[in-house]
Amino acid sequence: MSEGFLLRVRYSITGRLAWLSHLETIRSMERVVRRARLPYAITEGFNPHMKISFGPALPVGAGSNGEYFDVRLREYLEPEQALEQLRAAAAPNLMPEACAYVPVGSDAIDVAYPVSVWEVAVTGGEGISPEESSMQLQTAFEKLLEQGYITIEKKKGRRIVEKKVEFEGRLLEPPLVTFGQSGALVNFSTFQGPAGALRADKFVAEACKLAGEGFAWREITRLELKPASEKQ
Amino acid sequence: MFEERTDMWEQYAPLLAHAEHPSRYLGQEWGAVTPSEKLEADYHAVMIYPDVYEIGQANQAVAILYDRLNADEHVFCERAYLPWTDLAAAMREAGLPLVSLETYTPLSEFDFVGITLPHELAATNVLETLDLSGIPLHASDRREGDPFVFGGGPCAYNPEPYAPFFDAIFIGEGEEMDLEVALQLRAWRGTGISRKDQLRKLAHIPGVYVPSLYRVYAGPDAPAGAEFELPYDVVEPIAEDIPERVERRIITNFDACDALPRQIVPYSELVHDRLSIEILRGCARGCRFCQAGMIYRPVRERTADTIVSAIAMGLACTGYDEVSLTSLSSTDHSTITDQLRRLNKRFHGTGVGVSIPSQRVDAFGVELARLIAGEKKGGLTLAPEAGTQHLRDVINKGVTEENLFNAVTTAFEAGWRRLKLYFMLGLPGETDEDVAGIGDLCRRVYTAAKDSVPDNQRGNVRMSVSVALFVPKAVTPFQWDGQLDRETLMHRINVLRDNFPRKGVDLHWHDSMTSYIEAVLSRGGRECAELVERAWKHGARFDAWSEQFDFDAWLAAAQETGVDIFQTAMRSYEEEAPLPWDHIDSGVRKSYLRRERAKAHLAQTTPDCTFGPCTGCGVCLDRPVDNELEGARHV
Repeated sequence: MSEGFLLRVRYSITGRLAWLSHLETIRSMERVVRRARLPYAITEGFNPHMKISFGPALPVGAGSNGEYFDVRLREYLEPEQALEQLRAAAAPNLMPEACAYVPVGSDAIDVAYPVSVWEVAVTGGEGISPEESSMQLQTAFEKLLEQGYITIEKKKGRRIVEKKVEFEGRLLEPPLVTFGQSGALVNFSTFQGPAGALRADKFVAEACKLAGEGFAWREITRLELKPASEKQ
Repeated sequence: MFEERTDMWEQYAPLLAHAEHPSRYLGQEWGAVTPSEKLEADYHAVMIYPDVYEIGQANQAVAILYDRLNADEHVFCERAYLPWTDLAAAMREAGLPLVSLETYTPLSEFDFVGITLPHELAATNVLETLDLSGIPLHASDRREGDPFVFGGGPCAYNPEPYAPFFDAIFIGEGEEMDLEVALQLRAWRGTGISRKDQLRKLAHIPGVYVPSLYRVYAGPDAPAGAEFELPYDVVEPIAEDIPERVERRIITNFDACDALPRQIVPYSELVHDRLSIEILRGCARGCRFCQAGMIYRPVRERTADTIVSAIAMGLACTGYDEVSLTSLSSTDHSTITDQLRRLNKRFHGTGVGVSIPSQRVDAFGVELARLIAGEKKGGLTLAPEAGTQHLRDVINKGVTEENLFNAVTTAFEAGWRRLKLYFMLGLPGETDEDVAGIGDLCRRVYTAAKDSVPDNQRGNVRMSVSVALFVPKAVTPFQWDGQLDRETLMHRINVLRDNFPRKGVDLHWHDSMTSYIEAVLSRGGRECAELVERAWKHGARFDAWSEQFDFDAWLAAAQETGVDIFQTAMRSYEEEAPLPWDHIDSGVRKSYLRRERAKAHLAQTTPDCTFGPCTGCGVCLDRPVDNELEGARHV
């Protein structure tokens, strides 16, 4: 039997659909593929399902300009045609943006693109100017970097356990804080390797806590997923 | 024409970061109506299911009404659901009202607010919905310019516990009625007709019950109740021009109604997260405890062509990979085998799964299950309901031991390894022997299941049994019968435990306290509305969620209102006495229900009229309707 064709699709998550969980995004995108009537392959066996795989999870609340999924097709379809069909079957805030074939057997998306580039909009402290807010936030990040890790809580059954996540090997470009009209903007990049990822939302939330009352992230966007060769 | 209204999204967005499952609140699903589609609409309706999105969005009735209302260019119908307790608390703290999903508009800005009444344990959620919306809880407190609040659904057949909260309650099938009311109200806008007069005129639309136009004589004041032992409620119109009884609306030519209403594809995972196609409506098996079997008569089947084509279109436009053929008794459809064969052929190799929610307890039912499952056999669920043939005849279940054992052996020989059985405790006429019979039956079924599989697979056989307390419902032959008292119930539970297989079969039973509340609200009078309101004020909501159910809140409400929960649930009505829902005409004659009750006392069964002659329930005799079958049904 032919191994088919592996179509790699880049899509964006914007607006309020940033609040979808990773599983919800997967389920929704599978439905987009079915509505688009792509000639997708299905697994053989007890519980047949679409041959599709997704890139690294986004935190709930984070949008993205460049997420990826791979779907195996039984028949070749021009990528432009596939994209047109996908876009016609997708909601505006969960939208396929580009697609191209990659060789079957290519690295999985999270291996191929382990670098995430983030931009986070932060609401500043109450009663202080945007410049001052940005400086306070930058100082908070510096303190956090000195500490070298954040502690996150994880549910394990009914228990909640604390886990230390170190920045070493996970934080590529340190946060750069700039200020704009509606508050501060933070840019940084992370690396997801075998040891796991640094959650951008938790990282920024921890810095906001150190910066003081009134600081909170307002909008998180993964601007780009990049290959490891671009790791700095 | 679309008017700009208040869009609250920006105020809500910051709250979502702290809410459980924020996707419940997003809207913007594939298939949802958008303002750009409704540029000519100037009448705003919202349909509400009073529970969280994952439960409510799966409801087919709301989907049908949403579709029907939006079919008119002048009406823009949106949806709303009750937020979970975490977001509700945050909304109250932030001073934000409940909003619609499509445009995030406060519900108080709508013209028509429709709330479905799916089951008794949603009663406090109705009040929570109104309160979060900033709409006065009582219809009598609403003023000109406030929305009209309408109810409907299965609980509307005894509307009195909800009476003060609704401007009107719709009785029966809403496909035509809701739009009729909406367009009528739209036509009256700007004419100067007062809210009160509009309601009075609405009361003349068949199926529309306006509670404020009916007074309740209760206790010793009840004129017709004086001759009976206990005081009874009598509900009467306040004026001669108001109909004495409100007739249930019934759709004729069901097959011509769109089998595929507008489909909204959710982002959240729903309780029934698949395409659902209603293949038939109604059930005439006549189980004497079952309200649905009475209030959805007559039986109306869709054609196999309609069904298969709706499924093909529905899967294509939604992207679902599973379809459920829904109804009260899908395996009774006269062309069900043909439908399943056609679907299997059409979707072979595509990964599309087919399911049926209800299962006949016989070998034919299992044959159909085999057609559906193919090689993929999960669990099989059967509902004998009672442990002895005598009691099954009392409740007219129409299932013999032979049917059950044939079903079980056929299933386990065909490869199933998991079985779940449903029973009820506290049925009228039940004895200790009937309860012990559940244990005995389960033991023998378990043995039969193990004997039907190869020796090396006997260890894989799993069986569980779920037992619920009988809840008497309005418009059933058991509507006059009370529930068991707590002492007898505990005794029966002990009898069941003592007689239940020691190993191999898991036993689960439902919380009896929620069943008592259900019984109070399913047969109580208008006095129960205050009980509901007080319980809600004491914090009762999401009563159907076991972890949220707060019986103490109900007890406190009972104390304050003088409504004794246990006495009301256990109360048996005299057959000739007026009932609190006598002013609602379900279509099924009271004389038929009495006759069925008398037959229950004699353990005599009544056949299903879709397999044999008319049984005289009255629906087809009194209305221009009839069973609409596509062919002879499989006996």
